[in-house]
Amino acid sequence: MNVLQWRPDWFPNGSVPDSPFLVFGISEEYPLDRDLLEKRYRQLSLLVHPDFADKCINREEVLKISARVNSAYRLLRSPFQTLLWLGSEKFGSDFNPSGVKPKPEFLMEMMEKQDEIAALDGSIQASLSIKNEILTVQSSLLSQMSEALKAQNCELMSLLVVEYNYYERLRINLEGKFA
Amino acid sequence: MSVIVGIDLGTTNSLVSICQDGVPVVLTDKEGNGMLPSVVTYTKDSVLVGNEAKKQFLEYPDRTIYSVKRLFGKSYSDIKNSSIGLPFQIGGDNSKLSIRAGDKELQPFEVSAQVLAKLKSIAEKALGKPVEKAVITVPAWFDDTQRNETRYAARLANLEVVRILNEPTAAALAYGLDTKQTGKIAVYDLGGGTFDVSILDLCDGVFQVLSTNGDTALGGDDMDQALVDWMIKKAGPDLILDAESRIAMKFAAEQIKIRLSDKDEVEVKLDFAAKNLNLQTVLGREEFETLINPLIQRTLTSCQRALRDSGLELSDITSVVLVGGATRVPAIRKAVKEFFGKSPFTGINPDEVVALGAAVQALVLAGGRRDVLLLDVIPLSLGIETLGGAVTKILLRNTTIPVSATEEFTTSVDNQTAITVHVLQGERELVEDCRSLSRFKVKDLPPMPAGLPRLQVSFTVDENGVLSVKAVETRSSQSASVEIFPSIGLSMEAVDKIVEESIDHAMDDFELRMLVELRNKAERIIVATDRVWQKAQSLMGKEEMTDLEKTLNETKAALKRGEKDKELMQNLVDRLGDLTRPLADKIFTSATEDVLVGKSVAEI
Repeated sequence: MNVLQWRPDWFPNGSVPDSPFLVFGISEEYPLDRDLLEKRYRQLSLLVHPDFADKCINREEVLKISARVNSAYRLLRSPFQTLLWLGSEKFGSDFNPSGVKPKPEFLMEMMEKQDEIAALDGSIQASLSIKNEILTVQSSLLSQMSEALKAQNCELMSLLVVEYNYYERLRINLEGKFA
Repeated sequence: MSVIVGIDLGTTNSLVSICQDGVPVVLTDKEGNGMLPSVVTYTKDSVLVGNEAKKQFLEYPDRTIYSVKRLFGKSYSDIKNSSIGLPFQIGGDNSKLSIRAGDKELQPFEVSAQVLAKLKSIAEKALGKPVEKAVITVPAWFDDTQRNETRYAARLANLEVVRILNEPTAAALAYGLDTKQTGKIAVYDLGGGTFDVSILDLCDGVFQVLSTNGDTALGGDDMDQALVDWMIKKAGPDLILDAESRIAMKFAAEQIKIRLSDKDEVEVKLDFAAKNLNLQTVLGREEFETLINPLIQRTLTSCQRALRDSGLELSDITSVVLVGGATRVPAIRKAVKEFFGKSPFTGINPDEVVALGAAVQALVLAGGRRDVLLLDVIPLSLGIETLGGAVTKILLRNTTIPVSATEEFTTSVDNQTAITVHVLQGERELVEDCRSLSRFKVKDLPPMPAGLPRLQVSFTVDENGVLSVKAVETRSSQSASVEIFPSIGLSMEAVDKIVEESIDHAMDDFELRMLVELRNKAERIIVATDRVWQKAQSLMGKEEMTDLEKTLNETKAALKRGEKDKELMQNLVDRLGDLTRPLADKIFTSATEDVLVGKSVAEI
């Protein structure tokens, strides 16, 4: 099924495509057309959600299709998950971030940041400034990933993913501290 | 098209509604009341529900049960240390809870079933045809056990639940269709006993829940309780704190709260001589707001979390909808307005909006419209127990349903021939802090070194929020699965059995039943005698009084130690009966007078 053919009531052979992009008939690129994604997700949901799905199809199948559509949407709503998916699509098994060791300087930096978070005394101002810093770095990492993807640089892409995950952990720790 | 009604089963009030010509309306009883108080009185030979039951508060404080929704999914040990402030007797242990209504032992869902049965009959009378199916709303923040308790109640009331719907989602549905608004909306729902906040995206008829948060033990009741605590403090140490005085104060508190919604101060006058409750003072709105401020702050913390989870900024929110009677309190409106930076929408009656939304969803599920879809989320994360009592989450909270996910696990001990899958719900990291939903085993595995088995665990949550879990060890192809609903805690069949058993068991264990009856009898006599103690002094001789006091104390001690000797209890009850019989008509007169005093309290 190519992008132009997308119709909300039709999947090839009655099964949901593996590519989350194809589920919604949008092109496999980053950044994606967010408005189109939202619109098609709503269109599709009105058809495949169990509340409306064809009662002739067996229930297990209905549930599976609806869950697949929801998962595809959730993946595409996350820029990081979207890039990860595109990475494995493009590089196949070469793309293996869990096998990458970050540089020692980077790890030192992360440890310092973690100490900084641990030492926070509840000041909203200070935590907000750290949070913004993390978000800025993450957003820059995402653009770099997108570039690495275009440049077909699998090694760089993997490293960026690892770094992104470190920042994600910092962000979660920070939020946990103020939950 | 079958009739499906929408039901808002509330902590303090319940409603039933239906769509007529596509427009949701609340159904009323023959007096024109749409709101049914969620109150049930178990008198000796009948069960009263709603306003009829509410009238019995003062006469039968120990038989009139309310706010039972707060007890859903709880065991006695969960609530015994909380300041829940309910005047009726609650018992049980760390796995169950029961309510004592006079001489009846009830589970919370049995009480709610009476409310549902009444709503069913209101709907049947209003529509002139049988009603067998319903969409029932619950707080979004209810966990699985609490949702199931709602299902049990429906089952007992002979209602088929076609959907358990989250209250704020229902409210959003009613709001969205009424105003034809689109955009990102926040629903702030402060009911009698629970608080929910949900953030939704409304567009093209799709109501997509982005996040939800809340507190199942926070509501208007807690404001009343804050006022009751304030009264207790003001009343001084002589106050007799029992079911009757608590009820009287709760009534007064409710009135004060409501009056302070449009007055700057109210006069508080309580005169309940029998309980040494004499209060004459003035309460200003500001002081009241100080009393309830901690509660308001708790709701705002939930709002903050919901907003964070939705991934939106405050400025993205296009409107705020208030739901629940407690949102009439000005301090709440002010706090919500300040938090979201915009005036909340109050165009739909906050008491009715949830029921109206339920009616719309009922119409959709009956096949009556295809242009409206609710996409709800799981409110709490779901996962399994892993090494060291940790919880590994498989589905994160606020994931849109239906959803399915699979994760792989392995063993940590050599030659394990069975793996236990322990399914948990909650956000915390440790098993002990999460709600245990189910445990099941994958058996008959060939012995393998630790780390070699590959256990694939799949979680699926359907459109009803029902979780099923499947586990397969892929090297040996051994598998096991469990549907968490209805098998958490109790299955529907088990519910039917509970009711039968509670009768059967008592029959089996005749001795025990006799003993329980004797204890109840003794308790009734003690309560009745205490009530007229002062009058009795003047009505009876000194010797008789001394005898009576001695026997009363003996009986109280026996009750306290949980006396199991039937003969002894029988003897005590007989003696008490003989000693109090001459007082019988005086007790009766006195009791009536007390009730009258009590009534004036309620009518402040």
